[in-house]
Amino acid sequence: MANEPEIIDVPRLIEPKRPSDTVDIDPELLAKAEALVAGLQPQYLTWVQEDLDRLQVALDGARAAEAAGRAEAMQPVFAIAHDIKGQGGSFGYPLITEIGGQLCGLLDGRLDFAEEVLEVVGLHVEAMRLVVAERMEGDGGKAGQRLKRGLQAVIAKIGG
Amino acid sequence: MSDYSLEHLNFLIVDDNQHMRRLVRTIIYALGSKRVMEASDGADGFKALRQFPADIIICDWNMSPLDGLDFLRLLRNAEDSPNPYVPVIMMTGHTERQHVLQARDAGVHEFLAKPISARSLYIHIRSIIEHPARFIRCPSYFGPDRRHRQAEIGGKNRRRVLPRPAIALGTRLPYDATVSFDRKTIEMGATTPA
Repeated sequence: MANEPEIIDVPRLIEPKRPSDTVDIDPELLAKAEALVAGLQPQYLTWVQEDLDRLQVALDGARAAEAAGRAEAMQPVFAIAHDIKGQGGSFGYPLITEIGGQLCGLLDGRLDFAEEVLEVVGLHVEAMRLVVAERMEGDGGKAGQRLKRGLQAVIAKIGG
Repeated sequence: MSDYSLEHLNFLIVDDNQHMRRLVRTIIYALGSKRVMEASDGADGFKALRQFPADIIICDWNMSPLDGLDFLRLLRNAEDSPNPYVPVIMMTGHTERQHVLQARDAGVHEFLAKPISARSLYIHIRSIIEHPARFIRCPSYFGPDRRHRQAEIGGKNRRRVLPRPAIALGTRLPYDATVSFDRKTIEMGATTPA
């Protein structure tokens, strides 16, 4: 029957010598890959500074836009913040991912961008700059957590 | 030690962010493959497949003009798709359930949450190799089997088992320069297959 689902077997890419029900990890290979990624961290710190500069330019552009066109002008801000969020944790900066994620949560689906909202967006940009400048790796320690709680408090204040 | 090598596998990375492409390429190189091609959006990726017989595609979701889902639908369903069976790992920061289901229904094999790590990418690549998904074709779907576990099916199993596709994975097929798909017409540069 034409409407019956068809099952199509696809050839294997590689035939493992030892078929397994689980996914085996080669620790040596993984360690090598992790070391190479860790070696990219200095370059990441340059990339993220550039992204934060672009984020600031996009935010300044949105601030200068008429109220009616502000939601559209904020789209690049969301796109750049989303990229930043998606990278921090890969290079040892999960705090950047957390703050970027909080910023994306504030922007996602929002149509009203009053001055106070833009102020809070600007604070997130400043906070991420601080994380990079102070090299707050991992969760950023006590200072990093204080920073995160402070941003959460200002978001709560504007009802975000 | 691994019992097989990724050395002879071709990887296509489709992402509009050059830093993400660099990160993914670094991990793939470290895992043993040096056969990596990059594309900066879905349209570029589709075009690249005509020249480069990818065995695994690692693709971002958010790209323009053609995003990851559009690319995936094109890859699976376009008549001139160079390889509708190629496994796709979708990377995204959108990890909400609705997004996962959307990607699955478009024909993705594996869903990789950002930020990615060497470990997470490695696990997804090995999962594709060690547990290859069968493909399902029905009026509303073509893509890898969405049933991850073989559960008991209440009632009649309406699936028919077909033989393997006549083409080998990675085979380059003749194609038309214009692709019609999903009420859009995407103009592709005409290239003669090698």
